Amino acid sequence: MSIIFLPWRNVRANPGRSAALGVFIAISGMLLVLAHAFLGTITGNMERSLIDSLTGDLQARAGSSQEADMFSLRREWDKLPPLTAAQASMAEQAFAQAAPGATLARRVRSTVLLANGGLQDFGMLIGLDPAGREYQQAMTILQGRGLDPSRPGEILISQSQAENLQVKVGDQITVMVPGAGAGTGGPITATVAGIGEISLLSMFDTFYNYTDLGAAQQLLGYGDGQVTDVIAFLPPGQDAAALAPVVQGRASSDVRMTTREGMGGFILGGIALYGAMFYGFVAVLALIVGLLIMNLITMVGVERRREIGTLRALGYSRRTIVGLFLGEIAVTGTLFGALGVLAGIAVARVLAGTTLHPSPPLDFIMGKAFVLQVEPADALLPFGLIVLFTCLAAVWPAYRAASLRPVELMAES
Amino acid sequence: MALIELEAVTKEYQLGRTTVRALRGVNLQVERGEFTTVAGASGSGKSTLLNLIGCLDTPSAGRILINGKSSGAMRERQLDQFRLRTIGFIFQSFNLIPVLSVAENVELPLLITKEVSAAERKKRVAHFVDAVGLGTMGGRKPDELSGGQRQRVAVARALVTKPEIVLADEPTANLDSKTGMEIIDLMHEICRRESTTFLFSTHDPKLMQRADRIVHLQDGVVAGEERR
Repeated sequence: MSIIFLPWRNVRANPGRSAALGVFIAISGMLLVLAHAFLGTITGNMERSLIDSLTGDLQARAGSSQEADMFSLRREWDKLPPLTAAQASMAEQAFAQAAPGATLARRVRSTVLLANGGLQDFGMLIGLDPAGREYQQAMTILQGRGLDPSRPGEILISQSQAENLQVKVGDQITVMVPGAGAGTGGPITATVAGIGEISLLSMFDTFYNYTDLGAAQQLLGYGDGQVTDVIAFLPPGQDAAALAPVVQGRASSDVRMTTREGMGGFILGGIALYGAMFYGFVAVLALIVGLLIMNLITMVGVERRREIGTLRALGYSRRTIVGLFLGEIAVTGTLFGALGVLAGIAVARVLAGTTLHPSPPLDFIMGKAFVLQVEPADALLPFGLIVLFTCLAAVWPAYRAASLRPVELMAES
Repeated sequence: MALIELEAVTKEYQLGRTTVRALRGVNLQVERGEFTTVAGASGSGKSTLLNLIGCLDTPSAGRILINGKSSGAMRERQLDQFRLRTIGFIFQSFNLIPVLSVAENVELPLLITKEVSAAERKKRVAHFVDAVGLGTMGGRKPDELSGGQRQRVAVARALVTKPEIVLADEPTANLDSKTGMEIIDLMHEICRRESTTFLFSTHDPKLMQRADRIVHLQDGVVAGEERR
């Protein structure tokens, strides 16, 4: 027999005691998997919405443009220098060569003022191909419809803009560039096709408007082919950060490649808060699990005074006995943690087969239709955490149990 | 030089506000290979004396030398190692690990001894299990054994590291008199065969008679000695 088998022998010989601890570990593991899957799906959906509506995975813009987050530049989009038609084509070629499966979109962006008679509101206009699938996926249309490629000069506005401007679907509004000087095309008139929000990002106080590319070019006085950026939506599995320098290498220095982290850092930071919520949940769960485990190990230490005292008398060091205790806890934690995590994956899989329709205020972060995304790999982090917490929680009571002076045992015998 | 030397050893305990003097200036020498019993009534200090010799406790005053080394000068880790290599314990309540078999219980002290190979471990365990007359019971669990058989396992466990000293505090207290006698005879036989020094405590006059030397303790002092 090897000493490393002793913990296993103890676990096997005391199934009741192991199960008392193990059931709690398993439940914790299951809850962790579900929380991880829910928050992973929520943050993933938010990131997807950000990419589809605003940033794309990669963006090519003029080399002289200010390198900053799109959100922090929200009142300065009108100052973005455009890409020439040749530069935009070069960027598209570079994307096509480096990322053949990517979907490309030319866009014109500008900070705008929307006006209805004497009423005005601020907006951030994005002109693009109205048929583009990605921005449509990211929009939740509350009234009216999306942009119709056959009807140029339409605009999508947010609900707050509609209220401030007192307009409804079908009304016409004036769109202008604030402080427009020479070189701009001047105000345009656009018809409100729909009123809606970018899904899941409304808490970030966005005022985005979509129109067709031609209308936006006309507003800014851009010549044919001039755009503010070309964005690429990469196929699943492609790493934008790794691809950016490759695309940059194929384009000229007049074109700057930026990843979504560079463009949407502010909003991504907000989304990361949801990740922090997960870790907050983990911390609370760890505290509860930890206290329970500490209590149980303390009880086990009391229950096994004779055994510990005997081992100490035979010459086992405190460290060895702590190791034996931790070994038992690790075996229990691994076995029951794995069971709990597998149960969590099974429950998540069942939930993933159903489309949930969360009620307010949950729909604020989950959207109107929520489908849980779960992969077996999602179980690894919760599994690692639950085993780690279990072992950490056992260290102090195990040390206390091992600190029994063998002479105390002799006095009890 | 005696294997065990006690020089004016005193041990005091604090029981609430009362100071209990379990040993009062005990001087004692035990030679290598002796089969000695410490005899005395309950509360005479027998267990305290064995605990101090076994490095399970430290004296309040005086010195304990084993092989010329003072146990008081050792740190905890050194004491652990010292107990592992030099001293074997036989407990009154056997103190076997219930989830382990007879052979595994005997093997227990060797599991943390780096110097003994797995093959040597196996050989030694078989030898000592056989030596205590349990050769066919190596695979049994303690709860499948009688009291006498359990104490035989404890004897084998105490001997498996080939210690110089085996200490047994009332090793027959939980056994009937016939079985108790058998255990003492077994210990005596092994003492002779393996040249191991045995020191056991008892208050049973019949068992005392089996020892080569009887040290009488009374109220924490050595009240007399008999050699046989």
